[in-house]
Amino acid sequence: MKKSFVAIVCLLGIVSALFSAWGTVSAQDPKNDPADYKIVMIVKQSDSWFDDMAAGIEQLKKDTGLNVSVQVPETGDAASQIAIMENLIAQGVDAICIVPNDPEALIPTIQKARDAGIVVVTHEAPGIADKVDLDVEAFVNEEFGQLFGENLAKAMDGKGSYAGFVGGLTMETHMAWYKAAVEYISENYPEMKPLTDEPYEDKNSVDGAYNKTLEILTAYPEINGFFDCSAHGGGISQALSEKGKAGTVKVVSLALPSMSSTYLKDGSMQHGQAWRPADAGYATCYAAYLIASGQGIETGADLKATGYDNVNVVDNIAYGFAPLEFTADNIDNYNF
Amino acid sequence: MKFTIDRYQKILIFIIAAYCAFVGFVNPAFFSITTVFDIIRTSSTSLIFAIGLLVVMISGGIDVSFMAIALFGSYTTINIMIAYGIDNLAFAVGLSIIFGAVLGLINASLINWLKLPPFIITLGTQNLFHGIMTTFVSDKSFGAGVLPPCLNQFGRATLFQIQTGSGTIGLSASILPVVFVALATWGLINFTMIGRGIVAVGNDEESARRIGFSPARIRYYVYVWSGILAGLTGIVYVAQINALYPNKLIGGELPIVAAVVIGGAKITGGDGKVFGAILGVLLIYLLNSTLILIGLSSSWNDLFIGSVLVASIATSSYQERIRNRKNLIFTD
Amino acid sequence: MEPILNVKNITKAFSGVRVLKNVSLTVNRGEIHCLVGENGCGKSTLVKCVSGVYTPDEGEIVLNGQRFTKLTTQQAIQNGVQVIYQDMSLFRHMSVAENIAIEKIRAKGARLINWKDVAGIAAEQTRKINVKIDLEKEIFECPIAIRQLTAICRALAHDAKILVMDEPTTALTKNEVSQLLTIVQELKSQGMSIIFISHKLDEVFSVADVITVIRNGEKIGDYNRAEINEKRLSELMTGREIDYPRYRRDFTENTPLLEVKGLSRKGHFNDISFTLRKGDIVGMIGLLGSGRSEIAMSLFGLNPIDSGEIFVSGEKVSIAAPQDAKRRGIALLPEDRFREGLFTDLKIKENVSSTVIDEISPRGCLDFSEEDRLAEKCIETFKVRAPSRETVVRSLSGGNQQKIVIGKWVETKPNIFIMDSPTVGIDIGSKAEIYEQIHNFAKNGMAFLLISDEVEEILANCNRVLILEKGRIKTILEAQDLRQPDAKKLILEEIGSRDLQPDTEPSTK
Repeated sequence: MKKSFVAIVCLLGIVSALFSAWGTVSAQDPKNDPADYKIVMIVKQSDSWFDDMAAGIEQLKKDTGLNVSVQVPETGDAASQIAIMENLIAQGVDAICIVPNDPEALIPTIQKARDAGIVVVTHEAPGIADKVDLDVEAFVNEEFGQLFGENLAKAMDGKGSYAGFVGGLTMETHMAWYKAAVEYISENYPEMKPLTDEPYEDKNSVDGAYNKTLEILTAYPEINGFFDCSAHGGGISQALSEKGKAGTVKVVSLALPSMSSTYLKDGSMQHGQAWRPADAGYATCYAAYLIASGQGIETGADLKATGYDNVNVVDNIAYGFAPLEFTADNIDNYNF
Repeated sequence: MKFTIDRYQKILIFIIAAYCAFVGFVNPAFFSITTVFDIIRTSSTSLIFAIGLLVVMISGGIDVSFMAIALFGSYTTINIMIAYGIDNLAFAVGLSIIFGAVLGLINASLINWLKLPPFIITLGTQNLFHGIMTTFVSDKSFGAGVLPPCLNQFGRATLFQIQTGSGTIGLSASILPVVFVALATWGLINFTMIGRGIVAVGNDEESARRIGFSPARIRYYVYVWSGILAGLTGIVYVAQINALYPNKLIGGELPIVAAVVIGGAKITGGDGKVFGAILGVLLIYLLNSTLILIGLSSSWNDLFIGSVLVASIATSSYQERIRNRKNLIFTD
Repeated sequence: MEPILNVKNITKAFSGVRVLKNVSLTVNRGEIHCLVGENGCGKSTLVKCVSGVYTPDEGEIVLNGQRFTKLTTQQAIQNGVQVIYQDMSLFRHMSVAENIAIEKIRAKGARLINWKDVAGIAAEQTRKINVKIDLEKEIFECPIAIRQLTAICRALAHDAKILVMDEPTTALTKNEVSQLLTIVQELKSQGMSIIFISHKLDEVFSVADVITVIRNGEKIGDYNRAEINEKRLSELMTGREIDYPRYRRDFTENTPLLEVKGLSRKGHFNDISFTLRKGDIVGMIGLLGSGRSEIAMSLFGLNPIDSGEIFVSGEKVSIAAPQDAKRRGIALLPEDRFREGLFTDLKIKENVSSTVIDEISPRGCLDFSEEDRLAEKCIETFKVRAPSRETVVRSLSGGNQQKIVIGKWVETKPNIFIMDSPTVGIDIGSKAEIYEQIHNFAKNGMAFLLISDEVEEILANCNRVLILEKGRIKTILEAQDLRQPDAKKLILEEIGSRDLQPDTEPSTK
């Protein structure tokens, strides 16, 4: 599947290159044709999230004629991403975009790529932004976290006790959202109380979220709401349904539309939120092109994707404002 | 052979009881029928996995590919069901079991043919099976909406329901496959010649061969049985979580191995009891699902579970040592 | 008496080396036939020919009047040949009953196990040999003696007519041996033929009807028990006159190297006191449960004591771990050399150097030439029969393996050497060579504590003997006592075991 997928992308690349050779040409560019720029996106792994990202990148190729493609690692770890990067360095591409599985582990390889004159742009890796040419984020994590807080508070009518989940306590992004959400709630909704100081871990699995929810319901039967910063809130909804508490106990979760639509529609999940991988991929690769072609990126730059048309660049990180919110009403509009 | 609770199992039961008393003391909410039902529901898949692994370990082998087999069986089966609009639980279980059996057969064949340690072989096939699945079947995730409804119906089915203060609770139907598998495996090990052959091969392959058992053939039975149970568990797992991912389960093998070993199975083979494996799984689940009740915050989880496990293993092995001392067996 | 087994002029060679040369053997119904010979003389090969494991190059085997030139294991079993090998082929985690019955039930082609049948078959066999065993216990919980009985019962379950026992008494204590020998007699009275292989000549004399001596693959002869004595038999086996040299201590210096005062451990031993001086070889003998091995373990830091004092060279020491013992110059030769004393898959030189690896590794790097030198020295001193120092230990005979174990401990240059049953399962020739070296080391000032089951061994080596009973020292015999002509009888009486005298009826527990 992966190989055939890559093959299809390549094939599409050739075809679309033939048909769109006259695409936008920038004046400052030493190479005049965007098709001369070879940009490769390395995603984390193969799943529907990154399939959607690949679709966005395909769209970028159609729109601009850039020679951009996607590489999918065999396994979701740093080692296979490093292997792909090494390969690309040897090929001498113009830019590498990457969604790192383990940002710190990639630093030496990133350095090697940049030494070879390759532009490296990351996504979802603000922690190593000083080691790359640019990091592109869909939003400022605090704002996204506050959105969790706001959505949960609205669902709970601003009162009651709630619990928060993260994938794991060591996952920085999840923790940033969690903290922002809890802070936001305590500032704006004094009648809402978290059960504990620390979030619970769902270990990035549906059954993890399910098992913990059952236990929380036993320990704290009075609970009114949950929010999950990893995309496994379905487990919470599932547990609540089985205990007859769907709808009375509210759930807000990071969500993939394909995995959450059932829960949103049957009322066991009130609100889902995410960002659009297609747009993120589009913007990241386009940013790489801008840097590689010497145009550079400053606050206010337009990365041509929804939510990234006016990015805010701080400390080498380009923030868009592209959160995506799902409810029962709009969930069918998305298919990733 | 009657069903007996051996010394080791008594220690485990004691540890479990003592721990339950402790949790109940800290938080009386623990003592409720809900807790029992919840643990049965959440531990059911691990129980079946553990029983399948137990058989492999009794035969002197080890299998770390059972999660990959479960994933392969259930994922492929359900993909087929979605593609052809089939909504039949028996079909799901049947086909997934067939996939499991075939993959188990591949494991056994490779072990017999290459004569390499089963750990290396199954570590390889774990990646192989998963790779085949993601490459040739699919690598998409499926949400609750598109899965065949029969799965979730089974996942949510209850055998009976009880009215409690906090609402209606029911005993999950997931206990049915667990009970069936436990009894079948117990019978297989204790009452069939194949089962005794498994024990014999695990004790001493050469001696087993001398009295007419074929270790190679025994391995086929063992790994196919383990594969069948993995295939079954895959379906139960998907039914419970009501979602289908191409990358879950895998990576969760070691806790199951730990549970089986804590349950008294010898890593060197030849010894292990179904009831022991069940106790081992229950102990681990109990630890995992009572941390919130005793008010432990998440950052203490691993430390706490690790400490209790090490303490319980130390207690039981110390008992063993005292007994060995009596028989003048010095191992240190 | 009618012959049940007739081996006629068998020759067997492995890669050109003739291991058996034209050997014939006749075993009659209801006869105990002992097979004796040094290690590697071809006894085991002969047994494997009889059981169908090997096919002889020449000659034939007549079983129950049927002639076989190519006997298969299946045919051998059908004709009632059952072999109990030294490893006994038992299943550790199965019950005694199942071990006895499983093969029989399997052979019937049963698909299911009926545990009543298992218990029935097992009970029937134990009745045949008139012993009571806990049939429910798993083998790993049973002492060696019970395992041996289980193996015998399993053979009986197969309607054995000829039972071959390959050194069955090696790991048994005196009492257990006598029980086993009683059972062998009992089986004989039921009309079974028994081929009994042993190194211990006193056992051979106590049960044998006929003794066949094999040397270098050739049969030396068949002898009735009555027409031969131990000394003559040793000569026949080795081809030379074996008279163990007696050790005599001739040091005048009497300061103790090791002094033990009131050593006790509950349930193991009680109030043990003795001293070892320079050049002492002190023997320790006693029945199972007398506490001999436990004392050795305690002195080496493997079995913590409850009370008592240990002095090494006059200094009070506490020995809590083997490292402490090693540092004080104490070495232990354990009873089970396969499990505790040797790395059987490593080479001779690697085994020899293993105890002194730090000493011969200046700056952390192993000095290979020093390792080679040590290995050569060991091979030479102990007359180890091995192709080279590179030989893997597993391929050596038991006697030569034991020489390596002793050799590697000698390398640590201990002052005090505790040996637990150093010559178990070793042929007479090798024994003599080991004794000679023990004497040499003692003459150079090393002190030995020698634990043994064999009175002959004690007499040949010790200048003092402690006789233990139920964890206490019962009697101490000094050098002059041991030089009395009736010393052997005296020791046996003190141990409380009369059964090894050929002419007394063995006692049963």
